[in-house]
Amino acid sequence: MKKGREEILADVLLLLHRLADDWEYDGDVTEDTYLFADMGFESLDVVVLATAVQEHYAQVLPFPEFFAEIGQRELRDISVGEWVDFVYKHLNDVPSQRLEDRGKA
Amino acid sequence: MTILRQPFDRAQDRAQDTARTVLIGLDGATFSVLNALMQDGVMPFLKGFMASGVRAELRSVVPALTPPAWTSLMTGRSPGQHGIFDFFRKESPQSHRIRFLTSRDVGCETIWSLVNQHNMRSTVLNFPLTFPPPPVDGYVVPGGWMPWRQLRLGCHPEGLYDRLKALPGFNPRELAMDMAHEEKALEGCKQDEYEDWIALHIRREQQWFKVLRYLMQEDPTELTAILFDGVDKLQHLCWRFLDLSYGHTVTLPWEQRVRERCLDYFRQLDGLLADIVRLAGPEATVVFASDHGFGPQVRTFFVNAWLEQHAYLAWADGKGPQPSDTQVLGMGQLARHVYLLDWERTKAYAPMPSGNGIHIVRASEQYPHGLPDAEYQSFRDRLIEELLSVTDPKSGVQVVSRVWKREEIFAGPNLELAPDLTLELQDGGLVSILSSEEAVRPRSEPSGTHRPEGILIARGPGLHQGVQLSELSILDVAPLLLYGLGLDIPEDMKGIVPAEAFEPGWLQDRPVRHGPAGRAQTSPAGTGGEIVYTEEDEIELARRLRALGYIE
Repeated sequence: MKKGREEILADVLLLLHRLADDWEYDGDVTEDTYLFADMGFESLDVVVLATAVQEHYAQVLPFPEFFAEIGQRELRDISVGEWVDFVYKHLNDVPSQRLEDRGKA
Repeated sequence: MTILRQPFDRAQDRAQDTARTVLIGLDGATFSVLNALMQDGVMPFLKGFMASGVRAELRSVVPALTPPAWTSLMTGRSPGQHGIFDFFRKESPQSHRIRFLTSRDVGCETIWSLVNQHNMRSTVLNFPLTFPPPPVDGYVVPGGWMPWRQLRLGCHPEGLYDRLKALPGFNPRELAMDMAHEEKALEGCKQDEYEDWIALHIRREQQWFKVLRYLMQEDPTELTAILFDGVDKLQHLCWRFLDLSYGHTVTLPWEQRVRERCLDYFRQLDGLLADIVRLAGPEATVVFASDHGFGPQVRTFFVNAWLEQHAYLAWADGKGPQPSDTQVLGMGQLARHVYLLDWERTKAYAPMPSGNGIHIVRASEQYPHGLPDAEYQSFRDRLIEELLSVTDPKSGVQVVSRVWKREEIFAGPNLELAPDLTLELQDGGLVSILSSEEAVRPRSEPSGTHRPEGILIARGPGLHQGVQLSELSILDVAPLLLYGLGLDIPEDMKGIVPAEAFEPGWLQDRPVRHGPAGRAQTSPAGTGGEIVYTEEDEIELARRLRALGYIE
């Protein structure tokens, strides 16, 4: 699945805006927004969000490596821009693996 | 290929009459607690309901744990068939990393989707392993680990969350898990925190009921299922206030207040149950079931400490995680210890405290010091023998009452991902995975822990009234529900429709029909599976496991 970065950014922002409305988050959500520090995410929120993004694009993305990398650096947080960069990079990887192929031995 | 079959006539008639089947899950409910509550007038509705239906102890699966047990109930299949053994599973047969399980990992069809094949619909509220929401024809609001901030993502179909959000008093923070609410009472649960914590769970059940009532009134489905999980949580944390038969006394004023609050939880729950049954209508089949029972845990078996003492395990730092402050460390060591093991000197270890499983390190390219294949069987047999000989140094009681080999309980397509051994402890408890100088230690106060004997109470057309049945299997619930809807029972379901539950002649006139085996789950398994824990995640998950009562 080929997607432009702007398209992915729009998807992610739309999703985060919808979620943020539910908990009455009144800050801006932009590329520079941090999920933990700004939006109050907990780790499981990120795990669920990652699952939701994979569902949306119907594609397996290497989130474990992404999270592991973040876990090793000083600032253990993820900005929306980083998230989008990650999705953009791996969504356009060739070959990529679609979710429906994942369960097939 | 999807096999579409028509239900037999009774089902069509019933669907047209909007008669329904309702499953009410009471997580961890046990007759040892409920009987006293009914006798003492705390749960008058349940008492009356039981007198007008059948009841039976419901034998759980091994391990008697929420994810495998509820998945067995909602699929009618064993853990080996559906592949859910615990909250977590190994990443791959050779790996020692674990990962969080999601709905994508349920390896066979659920009753929710089975009824869809017969033009019936399902409502599924608060069941574990329902995120990402399965695309059933009906409604899904996931339970278990679903964070409240993301609840929207778990609600199915699209638009459901907004409908719920518009309900007066709807509060997702109370409906789904919110650690900010839960953890203050769980980090030690001081005397003055019990009452608020119990009150929160009363409000949570009321929130779930609010959702259920809305859906049952606005758009009733043929199969409706809701799970109340506060029963399990209360029994974990408040066992000493609930089970006075164990020799506990509740004499201090604060103890009496906590006990009264516990009783209030069950009193309020009883009222919600009455309302649900009334909403279902007099012709509905209503089934109450629990995933496992409960009882006191009197000692702690530090299984990794025991393995270390017997030179089967070594910590890289020589000491491993210490239980010096169990309130902080307890579950915080959930998976991190995997990184703390000395893999050159470890042959067996327990990675999680929730499933009582021991994994054996097999020799491989990555783990060259593991056990060679040729030695696997003899090593495992020796380990079993030694584990069965563990005794409580104070009482002399045998600590490990049974050890299951994985092929005995997890045979199926995911066998290689299962623990090599699963322990049953004499007191029904869960192991500790922490380090300890003593492998067995009495608890200062008994806590509530799982027992295999859950409950089933059912009322509906054809069912006996006021009859106690012999023990049933949790695998029998799915066939019972499908039969109640007039549907065929897939031939690969292990359970049966319990004949003794029905009045004479009922089954002869309406024989149980068996259909083709269910479809394997072909949806994109692996979505959740791709999310392997980081250490940060482990801490968060540990907090949630604590909130669910899996404390050491």
